[in-house]
Amino acid sequence: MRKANKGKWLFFLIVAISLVFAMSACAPGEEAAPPADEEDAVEGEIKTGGDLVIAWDWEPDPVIDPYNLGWGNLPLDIFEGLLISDYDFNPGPGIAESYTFEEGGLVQIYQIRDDRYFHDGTKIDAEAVKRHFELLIDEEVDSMSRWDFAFISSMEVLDEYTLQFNLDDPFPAALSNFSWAGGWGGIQNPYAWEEYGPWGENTYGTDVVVGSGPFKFVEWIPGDRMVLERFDDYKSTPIFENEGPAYLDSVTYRFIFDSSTAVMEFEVGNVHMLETVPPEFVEQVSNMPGANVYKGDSWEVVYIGMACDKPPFDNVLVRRALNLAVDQQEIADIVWMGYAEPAYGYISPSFGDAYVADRETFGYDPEMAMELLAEAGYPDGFTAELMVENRTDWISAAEIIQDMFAQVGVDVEIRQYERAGYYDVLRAEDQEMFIRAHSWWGLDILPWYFHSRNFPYPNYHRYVNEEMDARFDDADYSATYEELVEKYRDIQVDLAKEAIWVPLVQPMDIVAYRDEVKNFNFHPLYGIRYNVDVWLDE
Amino acid sequence: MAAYLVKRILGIIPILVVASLIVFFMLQLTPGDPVLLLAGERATPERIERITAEWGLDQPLYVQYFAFAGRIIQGDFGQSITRNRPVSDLLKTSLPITLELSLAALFVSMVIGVPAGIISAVRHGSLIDQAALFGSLIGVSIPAFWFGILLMLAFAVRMPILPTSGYGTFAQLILPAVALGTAGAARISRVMRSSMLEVMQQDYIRTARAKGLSEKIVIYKHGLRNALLPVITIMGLSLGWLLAGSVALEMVFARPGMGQLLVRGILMRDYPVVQGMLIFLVICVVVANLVADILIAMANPRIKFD
Repeated sequence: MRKANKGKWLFFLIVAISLVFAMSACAPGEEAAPPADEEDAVEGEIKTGGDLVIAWDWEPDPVIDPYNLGWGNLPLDIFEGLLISDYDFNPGPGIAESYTFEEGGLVQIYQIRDDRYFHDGTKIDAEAVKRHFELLIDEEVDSMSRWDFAFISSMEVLDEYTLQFNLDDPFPAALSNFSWAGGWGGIQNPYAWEEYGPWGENTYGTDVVVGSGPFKFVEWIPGDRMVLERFDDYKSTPIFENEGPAYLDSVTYRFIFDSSTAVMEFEVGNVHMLETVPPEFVEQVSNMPGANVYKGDSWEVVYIGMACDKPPFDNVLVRRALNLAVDQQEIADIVWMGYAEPAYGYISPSFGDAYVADRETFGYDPEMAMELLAEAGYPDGFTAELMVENRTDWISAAEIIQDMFAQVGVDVEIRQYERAGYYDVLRAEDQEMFIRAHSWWGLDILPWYFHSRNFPYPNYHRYVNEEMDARFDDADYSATYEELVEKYRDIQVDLAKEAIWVPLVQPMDIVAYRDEVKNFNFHPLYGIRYNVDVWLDE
Repeated sequence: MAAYLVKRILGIIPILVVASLIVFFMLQLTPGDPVLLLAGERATPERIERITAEWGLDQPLYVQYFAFAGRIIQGDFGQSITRNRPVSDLLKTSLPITLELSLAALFVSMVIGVPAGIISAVRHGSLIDQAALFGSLIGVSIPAFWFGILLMLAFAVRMPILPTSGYGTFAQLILPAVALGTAGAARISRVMRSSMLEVMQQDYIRTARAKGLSEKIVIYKHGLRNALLPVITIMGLSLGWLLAGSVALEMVFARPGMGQLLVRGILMRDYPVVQGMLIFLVICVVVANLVADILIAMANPRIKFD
């Protein structure tokens, strides 16, 4: 009798364990794929209300405060810039409804809208905007954005809603800097900032944040979520269909650092949008019922940097040879599973007219690479170190590159670091070759990395060229944006010949959203972070 | 008993001093600068210098250590660099989340581990013993975070009877507690089994059986009480394992507990957070072991306090 019971018990145990494994192994990809047609999304009657839940795999550090910002990422829904860029990057009305330039751009007059309020009810007028920019460029405040607005020499309040900026030199990037609400241009209530301050019970940036965007800050639970609530007095700008306030009741950003968990939360419907879908999850997410995946060009360029003043990288032939040894397409296909484009320039094609590709220098030709190495005096190749941050995708890329370099006789040792250690090596100037990425959307990224005044940091590539310095300086003070773009195009043509980097890939921006999310829009600059037109159909 | 307690408590002090030294220097000597990570790539050298000075990170290490030790003695764990909040505030919000998970996991470990250990010892060599041994081997071997993902997939996605992640409700506690408790159960059952096997060989068990006592009384009254002592010790130590295990599980189950805070603290080189939390964990483990010793003393009157 006892034996029979034991047998039964074991049988159930085995069945239960098999069931768990069988259920877990069941691939979601086998389910029918839903029509991922964006046109469907706008159908139906607009329904107000609902809490839009967005999963982030990161968390703002350490505060939400444009005056005291680290990485420049902010929940945009809270802030609005003086201007807002439209979907084609043209600066349009934001807090200012119009602007005029005088004296060749040295005097810029902005007309502030008279119907805008900060979230605490304070009216936005020229005086408040002036105070905001005063704090932003103040030496004591020492904001990260100080240098992005250093072109402001002085400000004058002409009347209640008219503000004049005076510049010493023309600065064609002013309009785009004013439209970068994400970090630098995001206008907040300067008086609230001064009242609460960075420490104490109600710390500005963690407990209190006062912007003027479509949603107001409610709470931030570290490691868990940030909750924003609709700002009822929000008056929209022309880039949105909705005139304001937003349709949604609230937006919740959940910080889910584990991608598997985020994908599962998305699948069961607890999360409506995934801001980032790693390439390995794209197929799984695409096949989920009720899921849509948006894939678009990003600003990101992943590249191998080389220390241009250290042998053998001080020889341009070696740098060109290394470029020709790398097959970017293979890296894009294998590591990014096709969700990346091969990179042939220093910036992303998202720059439009300003982007220059050089397929000759940055292309793939291993035989030519070996010839160049021989010409440079390295017929048998050489040995070098390749530094890489311990991200799975970059490590995989490094391993493939190691193999590609070996084909032309270059023996590379891969050194893995976590981010903090990686920065230490760069700061200690110990780098030879290193994998990095940038996703900056301004042309100032080029002098940022390659101007000798930024040597050795952030010019980690240790590239020093006085002629190029002069050209950067000349371009930055162009009279018009068109002229600036033209000069930067010429600069890129010559910089490409220098082969300072081995550009690798341009990963795509991949966002997932559920069917309930209507009117989904991806802005090339702001991503999914302005949810004025979005509504939930639950 | 009182003298024993005082002696044990005094014995904690050198442990804490050594631990504080290790905790402090381990992270300080690791490459990586929190200011660089915090200030970002676009920070000017002047800004980096200013933030470094603001956080006192430009001081010599020994000065920083004494400042740190001095603060800890006063119960002040410092201010988080990356969170802009006092570490004690972060502890206050994250501790209950982690403690809840650790205790629930400990409960799961006990509920599964103790009976499994007893049964496999009593039915030594039988199929059920083999199955329990095999199960415990799997339990010890599989990483809790992976088991957690598997459980989530099975019971929250494929068969949605439990919440996926998060915290605050009992239902949200079940999956992480089972994931974390399984490894503990495996450990406890193995210790319980070997301890029980040893006890069952003792003369007094034979005497008990010879007296004609029923097997139930022999096992539960004479065997179990004696065999439980090493299990109590293991449970005291388990708190350390559970807290360590919760580090990975909190990332998986998106629970903003101490584990998650610690991982992010280490990655961002948030010295005050990591040092404060580690010291706090050291205190917890030391106290848990002290409590386990006292419980053992109470469970076994033969232990003398000297």
